[in-house]
Amino acid sequence: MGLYLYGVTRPDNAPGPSLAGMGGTEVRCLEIAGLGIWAETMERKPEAALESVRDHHRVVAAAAEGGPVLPLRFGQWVPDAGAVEETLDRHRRAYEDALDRVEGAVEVGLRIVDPDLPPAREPAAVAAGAGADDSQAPSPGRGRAYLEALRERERKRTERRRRGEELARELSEVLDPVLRGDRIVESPSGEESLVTLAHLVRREDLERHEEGIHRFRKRHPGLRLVSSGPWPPYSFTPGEMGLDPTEEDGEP
Amino acid sequence: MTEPLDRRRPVSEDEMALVELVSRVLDRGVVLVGDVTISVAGVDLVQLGLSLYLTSVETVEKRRREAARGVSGTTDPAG
Repeated sequence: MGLYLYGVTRPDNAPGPSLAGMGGTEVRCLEIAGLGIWAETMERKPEAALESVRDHHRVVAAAAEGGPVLPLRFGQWVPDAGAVEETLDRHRRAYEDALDRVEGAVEVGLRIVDPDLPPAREPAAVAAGAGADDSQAPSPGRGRAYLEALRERERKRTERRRRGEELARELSEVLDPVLRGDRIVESPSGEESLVTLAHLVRREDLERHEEGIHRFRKRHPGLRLVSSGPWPPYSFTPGEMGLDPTEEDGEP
Repeated sequence: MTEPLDRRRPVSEDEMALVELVSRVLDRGVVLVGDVTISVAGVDLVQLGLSLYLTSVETVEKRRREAARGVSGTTDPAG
């Protein structure tokens, strides 16, 4: 019987007596290499489905209620505890430091959006327009238009990314007194989205964080700032906090 | 695979919360074992997340402003 893993925590952060995981069985806190791992016995890997994703988050959120937790990404199933013991043992210090860093803190998601950004034209549509007079025949005009449109789209994306990074820096300065961590996250986004951020904020500073966001909104009335959370610190893994970069890709 | 979503359709706040949830649970967090399950049965979660993101966030903002003037735009992670 294998194990499905939810999060890394301290060994004394145990789940409530009747907490069931996505498989319907009891979630337990296993002590492995001096760390606590919230896990559930499960015969085989779970399939990705919306309900499973919600269940994963529900258990991670319960762990975060009881103490600092480093959420695990969805889908980590092992045949037995020994399969992660070496990794945890080798990087125990990094996990302990990361747990100290996130203790008492939550993640707030932020997305800065510029609704006035004109949507980029699809290169294929631009090329089709350039060749409209030539019916279906290929033409040098179409190829040139396509390449120019590709370049233009890339230039706009670079410009947008640069502006997003500037705004992220400005927002970090505004919120500096209440930020325990911040990072730009790679995230799928529409053309109007400038940047997506994750902030690590102490629970007691959430109100001050919200006030800082309000000040930023006033400074940039043309932008939209969409926030979400508070979340367990999904975006603040040890590697992302600079504690042990080898953990970023899951390599031991 | 899910049917492609209509990107002109307004995104509800529940959907936005869901997108935020899915992006965190599937794409972030610590990886202890290399073989992470992101295969999909029935619902293509990654595609769903991408499609929802690509739909205008501005639409959500407009709806929110219309529904509750001056209320904070925080979404509920519980979805």
